[in-house]
Amino acid sequence: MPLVVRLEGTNVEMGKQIIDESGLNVVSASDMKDGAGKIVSLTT
Amino acid sequence: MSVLIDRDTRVIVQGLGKTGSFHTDTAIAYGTRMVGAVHPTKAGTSEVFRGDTDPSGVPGRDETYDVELPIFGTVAAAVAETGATASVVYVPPPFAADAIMEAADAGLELVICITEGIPVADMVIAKRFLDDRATRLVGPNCPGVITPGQCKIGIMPGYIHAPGRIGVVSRSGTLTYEAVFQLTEIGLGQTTAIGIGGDPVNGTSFVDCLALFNEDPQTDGVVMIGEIGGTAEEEAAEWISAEMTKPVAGFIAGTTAPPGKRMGHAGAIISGGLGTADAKISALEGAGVVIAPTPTDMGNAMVEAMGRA
Repeated sequence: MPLVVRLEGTNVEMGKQIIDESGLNVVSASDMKDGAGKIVSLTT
Repeated sequence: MSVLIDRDTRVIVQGLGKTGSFHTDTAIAYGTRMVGAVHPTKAGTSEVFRGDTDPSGVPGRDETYDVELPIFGTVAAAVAETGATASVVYVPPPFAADAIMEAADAGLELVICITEGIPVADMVIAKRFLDDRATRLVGPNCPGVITPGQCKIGIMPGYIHAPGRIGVVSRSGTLTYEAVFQLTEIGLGQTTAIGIGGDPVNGTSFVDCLALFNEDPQTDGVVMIGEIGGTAEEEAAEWISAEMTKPVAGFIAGTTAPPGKRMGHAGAIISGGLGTADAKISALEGAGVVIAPTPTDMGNAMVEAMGRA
């Protein structure tokens, strides 16, 4: 199942590093609109 | 200018557990004047906060901070010793309403309560207690208040903010951050961002904040973010029609919420057919507020509202 993540906020660099190092197949998005568009296109 | 808090506001923290300590650290990193803490069992001791300064905060500081915060057993003792005028409450739900009342009893001007989960019955008592006193409560169940570049009280990330021209008032914490980030990227920035919180009984309303922004010479426009439940947005619409002299943009969360279901926030529920997002949008548009259709359009809605003014 595709997973799109848009991450901003406190300790965002640490959060992004954890996601990058997780080995999970995550697509990143720049804002909510970008994220919504990406998850729709990945699931249709 | 700004409303409620600025670079000179002296702040104490009530509740210095894991959460309270973490956010006190980020506040000090930002440059907020944290002057003391209140904790029932750690009175007479102190806690040291040190680290790298948050560059998005108060300008002109050293690259690192090293602050020793005195801890008091009561708010009254903390105020007497530090001259604080504001408090931020991270006390857990069973005791938080008491903490709010203690702060009011000690004569603080401003109490900002972050705690989520305070029983409604407790808040009814606390609100009545505050009616007879000069203390303003913001929250509970809110992310706090920030005047960018001057004072950050609460859990919001500093870097998304920029000193600027727009007042932001919101029931939702995360949507506040969305609006703020959009305003920062557009170049409008914020004067002050106020989280009024997601609880049904709270200390400060949309109308209270709109009135403050209306009087603030630096605020040129306001973004307000509401959600299903209650009548705060409808009351805001009435006030805006009658009194507001500056452009307002808004977003209302919950257009697809099923009736009767509490959507996360204790106050976010359509009950008996009342409190729907559509009704709120309609009321606000009737008052001339530009409503963003999605959370990503809030910055654009503010630009549009200012263009129409």
